[in-house]
Amino acid sequence: MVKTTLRVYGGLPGSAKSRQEQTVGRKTCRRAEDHLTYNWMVVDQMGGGIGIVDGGTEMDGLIEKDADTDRLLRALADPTRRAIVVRAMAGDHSVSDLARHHPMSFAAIQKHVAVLEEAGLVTKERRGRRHLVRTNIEAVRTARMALDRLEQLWRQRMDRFETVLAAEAETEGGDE
Amino acid sequence: MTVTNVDKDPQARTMTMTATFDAPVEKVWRLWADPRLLEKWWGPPTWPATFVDHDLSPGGHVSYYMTGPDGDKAAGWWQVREVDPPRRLVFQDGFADDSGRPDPALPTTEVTVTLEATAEGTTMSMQSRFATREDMEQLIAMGMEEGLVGAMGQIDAILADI
Repeated sequence: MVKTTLRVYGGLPGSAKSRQEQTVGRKTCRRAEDHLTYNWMVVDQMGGGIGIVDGGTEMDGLIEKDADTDRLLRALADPTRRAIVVRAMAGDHSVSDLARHHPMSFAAIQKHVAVLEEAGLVTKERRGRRHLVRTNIEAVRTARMALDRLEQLWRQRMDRFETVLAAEAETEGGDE
Repeated sequence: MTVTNVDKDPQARTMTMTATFDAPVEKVWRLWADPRLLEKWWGPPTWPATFVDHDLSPGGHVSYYMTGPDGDKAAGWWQVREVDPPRRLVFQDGFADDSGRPDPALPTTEVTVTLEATAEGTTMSMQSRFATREDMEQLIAMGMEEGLVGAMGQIDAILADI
């Protein structure tokens, strides 16, 4: 079992571009990236990053663990596997559910899931005749991530809000 | 400190932020009601917003786009649900496609703004609620996808140094 923290920093326009090249995606994906870039720039401006936390150690520890790092990198290097990780965050999916979302065979998806499982990114649980795949991040924690991003977005807006309000008060001279 | 309280409830899919301002309610309201003031704070400095439509009436439509440093544009929209100037504003907040039409593939949130007069000025409460669990997960997914690529880039850089 790999214990890692991926410390993730905001995507700069350059990195978003490189992602566009990597993605063989739908048009909505590209638009999503535009917003992503924006969203991550917002986070970037905060001077922080959003960590995807799963376990104890930080990036440094990750680098030290060569074998684990290799596995993790290989697991995440593939767009189909990243899509599976993302999809399986939303709840349990059987391998055949996952296969329906990709233009490839059940066997191919099964192999991808095996790679992710080996890297500790997903767990597989037998329920009846089905194997359910789940991303190894607690549901509540992932929910927090989205709410954390909203919080950062609105905190920055409120800071600007106050600046604009103060400037308005000034231009109206003598008005409180 | 402007922001005085933040409350996040994953079960209810809400983030509630409370901020206080040293100004009367009517003035604080103007920053929502006047599009020229609104665009001074809605987008970050590197992605300033331009509001195209701004109809703050029930059922009214607001549309805007933000312009990035490379000239890229990201469009967004509000669908106004409730308005009670200068106290309350409820709207659906979402992304739009290139032609400015709401894009159902991207997550939306419902924003409820409440202004209250206090002895010091105004307390503004802002609640943002993901429309569905799927919306919330989609936002995470968008961030995670981007984040993973960012992390990969960093790891590449570190490995190149070794």
